[in-house]
Amino acid sequence: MVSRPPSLISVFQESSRTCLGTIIETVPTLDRFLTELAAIYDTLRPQKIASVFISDLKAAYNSLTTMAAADLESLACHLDTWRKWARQQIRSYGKELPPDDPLSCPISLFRTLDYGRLETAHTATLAWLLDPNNREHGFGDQLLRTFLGHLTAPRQFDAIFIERVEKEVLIDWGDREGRLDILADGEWRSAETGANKWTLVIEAKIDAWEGNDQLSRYDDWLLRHRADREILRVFLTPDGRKATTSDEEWVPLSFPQLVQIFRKVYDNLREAPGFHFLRFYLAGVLQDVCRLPRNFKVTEDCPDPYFLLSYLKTATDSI
Amino acid sequence: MTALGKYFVFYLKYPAEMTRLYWKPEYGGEEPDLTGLEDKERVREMAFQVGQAASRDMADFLEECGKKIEDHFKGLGNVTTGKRAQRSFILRNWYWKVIVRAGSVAGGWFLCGVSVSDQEKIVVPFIWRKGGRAGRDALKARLGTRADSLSAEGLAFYPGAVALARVPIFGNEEPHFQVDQEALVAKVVRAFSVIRADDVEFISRYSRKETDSPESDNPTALE
Repeated sequence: MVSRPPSLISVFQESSRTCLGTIIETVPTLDRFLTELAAIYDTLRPQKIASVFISDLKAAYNSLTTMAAADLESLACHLDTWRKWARQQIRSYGKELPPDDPLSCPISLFRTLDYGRLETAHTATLAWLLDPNNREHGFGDQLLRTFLGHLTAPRQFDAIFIERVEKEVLIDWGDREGRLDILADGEWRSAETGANKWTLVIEAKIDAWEGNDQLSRYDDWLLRHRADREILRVFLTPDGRKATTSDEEWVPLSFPQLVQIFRKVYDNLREAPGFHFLRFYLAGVLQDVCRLPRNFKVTEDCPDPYFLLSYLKTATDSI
Repeated sequence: MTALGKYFVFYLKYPAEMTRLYWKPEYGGEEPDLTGLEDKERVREMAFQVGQAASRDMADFLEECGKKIEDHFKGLGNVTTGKRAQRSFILRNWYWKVIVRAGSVAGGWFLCGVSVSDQEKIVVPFIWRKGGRAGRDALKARLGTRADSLSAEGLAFYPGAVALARVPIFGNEEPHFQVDQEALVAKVVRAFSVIRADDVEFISRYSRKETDSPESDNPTALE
């Protein structure tokens, strides 16, 4: 029989008796109280998990659905066929790729500074690119429109107006401060719905994780400061994973998807002063964040032929 | 020989496909484009089952690595390990990690972990301490040739992480089902065996310059 360690209460009783000495001896009610407390406490102790439960759980775990070898081979066949199809498609779409496409550009905007995966570099750049009031890049609202269009599809708007696009917006959480990576406010108008105000929030994570309740704290702030607007929340990561610290809908967006969104309007921007900046930025995202090789050659032997095919379709559809 | 889980091996053989058919629907928000895939519904169902089983195989492997890595650190004397990745975290993110502390350095700590890259089919043991690039450079200077010379960016999910090695799962061969799991675990653990007690003390002491404790530094990352 395994001896049980002394209960907390019995230790307390013993030490109380020792510490209080004669006082305890002459106060019978305290002793009785401690005894009754010990009895009550013992009923609260968690029951030991039945060993049969543990063994049943192990058996259940070991019998979790496992696929027959034949089905695994069948799955392998299907995937091999799919991959062959994708490679054939890449051969034909790849021929139409323009020579100045970011996919073929060996220069990453941020790599020489070792900033290729630095979140703040990317969010600052995105805020700059998305701001239609920025005359430096000369893109107008094209990148913003295509970005918002992706988020709100299939809705269409006749006009989009921007009030502001800001990066690293300091917000007050009461006991702490936080920063929204990108915050944009504006208004859109359509014949069906009239004029409506919107707010766009983008939170980017590259090699980092959400902080404790981070997005739910952003949600609280948005509820307090932007309650009269439609709020578009975007959680931007290399792999497009879902956010975990909010009950609201933060739309997961991957960096490869971001590149494709911007690629839709890329061909329209060639005459703009910021075109080559955009080219090097998107090339950098593909290389540094999406980990495509530098000097990437469009061939069927790409590790992810499906992304490559999707990108090529976007690129060639926009020509 | 205990072979590496066959579903895990299958996943590594078809990482692009399995990411689209399993990981993205399960953990990402993107509904995958399955154009060109025949018998979509049945294939999705099969891939989902295999994906779940592969994740379990992968988590079993990483937890096995983790146990032995913790044994190594505790064996150095006056070194303790703290919060470690829960299984649900490993299943979702494909890496394991644990906090390491030198008993002689109050408040000092660093992270060590093991990640799996399905694209590159490698296992990456890594160390991370706070301080971004400066922390990384200090770690690299301390470890010298004991660290992998290539960047751990994108392979270990912390800015400034230092990879100790890149362990190929299949060697120079195509993915196959006869990978000796014990031998693979041993290679991963060997990468940490170069970390000595004085290294633990140095890295912990360097970390102590950052006043935060692990619990206040992005604690969800430790779950």
